[in-house]
Amino acid sequence: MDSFGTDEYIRQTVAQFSKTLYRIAFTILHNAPDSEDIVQEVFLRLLKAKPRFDSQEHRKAWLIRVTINLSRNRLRHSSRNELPLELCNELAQGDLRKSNSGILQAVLKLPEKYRTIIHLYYYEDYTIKEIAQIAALPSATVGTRLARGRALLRKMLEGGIYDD
Amino acid sequence: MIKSQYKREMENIVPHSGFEEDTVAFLIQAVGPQNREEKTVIKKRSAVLIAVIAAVFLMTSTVFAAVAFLRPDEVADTFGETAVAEAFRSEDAVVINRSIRSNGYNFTLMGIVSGEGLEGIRADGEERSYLVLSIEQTDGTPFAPEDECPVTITPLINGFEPWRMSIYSLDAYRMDTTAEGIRYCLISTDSLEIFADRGVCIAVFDGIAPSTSVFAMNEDGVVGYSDSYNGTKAMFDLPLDTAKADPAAAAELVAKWEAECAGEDSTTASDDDFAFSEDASGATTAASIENSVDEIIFVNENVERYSLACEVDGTLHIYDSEGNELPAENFEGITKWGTVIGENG
Repeated sequence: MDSFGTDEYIRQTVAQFSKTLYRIAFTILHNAPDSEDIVQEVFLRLLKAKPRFDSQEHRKAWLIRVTINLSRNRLRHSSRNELPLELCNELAQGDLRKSNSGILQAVLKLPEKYRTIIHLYYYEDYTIKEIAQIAALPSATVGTRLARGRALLRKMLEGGIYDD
Repeated sequence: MIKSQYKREMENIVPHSGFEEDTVAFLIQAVGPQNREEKTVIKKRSAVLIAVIAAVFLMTSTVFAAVAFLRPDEVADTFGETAVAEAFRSEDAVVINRSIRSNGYNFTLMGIVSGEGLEGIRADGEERSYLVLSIEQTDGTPFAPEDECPVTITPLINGFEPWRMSIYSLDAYRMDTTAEGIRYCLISTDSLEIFADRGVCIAVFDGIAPSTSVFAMNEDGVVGYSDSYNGTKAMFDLPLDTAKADPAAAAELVAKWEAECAGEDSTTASDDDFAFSEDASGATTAASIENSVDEIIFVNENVERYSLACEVDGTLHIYDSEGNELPAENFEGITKWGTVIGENG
């Protein structure tokens, strides 16, 4: 990795993390333009704050944490979060209609406090302890939300919510 | 099954083509090389100025006070907590800046602020308290980001035993960052102001368990360190406004926490992923789990413990963080099992 803040560092960092951060922001916001704004804001904060990291994983965890924080702030202060999911989906470059099992849509319909943790666990393969550190939540809370989110997910999928 | 399917479908969620190039161009323009150089110079000058102020202060006062490179609002900003940072800049923030040295560290409680819905990470908007505490090594060795500082920082409330009401029950946690060799901890906790009439403190101790070997509570309900405890000690009384005490809200919070503990227990007990049986004393005597399990949470000696890796092949096997199986007798005192997460969805 090039020296912090150089043009090459910026290129490498964006190439390495932009999709990861975008997916996390999208999981919270359901909205492509807002998610892209958040990702750019996160990178900008990285360059301005110049935090020190002891490893690549530490840097990734920092980026994810700030992405979650900024996305939730945006969610609270934006009326866009009131858009129905189907309309938000139309705004997304990634086409959710390619989802043939409905799992992705089911996760995105979970309450926000569950879906972010489910995403980090399912997609990023973080452990409960790691999610707790990233999300700044007690591990017990993460474990409970994960268990309840998975139980909700199971019910939604078994109930055929997405068959109609 | 769900996990792999979710991963496949999530792969379709990507930014628009050209987003990365646009972002790189935006960032290079927003934080150009000239701008970055200027910021560096300003920061160095600030550091020198702070060092001079520190030297003058130390020469003219016997009161020990820390000089921090970051302010509490800047610490909050580091984590993207803009609303918390703004609160620390407001008149509502209480500046404390009191230091205690112990066991090779200098702990400085810098300030506290409370408010509703400040924290981005939380969607519930409940009132919480935020504190910033800095840690320096007294021998002058700067903290590196990877250095460990093996202490736990917990709020304690008079009238509640520390092993009952602490960082775990108050839904408290901390985020650490390091700047100029100083470790900064942003601590987020359930509202402490509602307990102001009881007396609230922030305590530092070694290890993770606020057990009876570390803390004690006298007959008047005042919490303190146990006489037999010889580890790191730094206890800061919080200058909270007693007018903001809300005994009803405090009782509600305590009741909620106790209900959550009971709820988590009952919820997980009915989960399909596992089943534990308990003897009359409440100790776990057997486990029957059909699916593999990743992590467990349990309560032992009144302290919530977690993050133990676990694998199952008909009986329960518990491992430490380095993969060593722990003998069953280590868990004889367990009184409550919490969430078990299995990858079987």
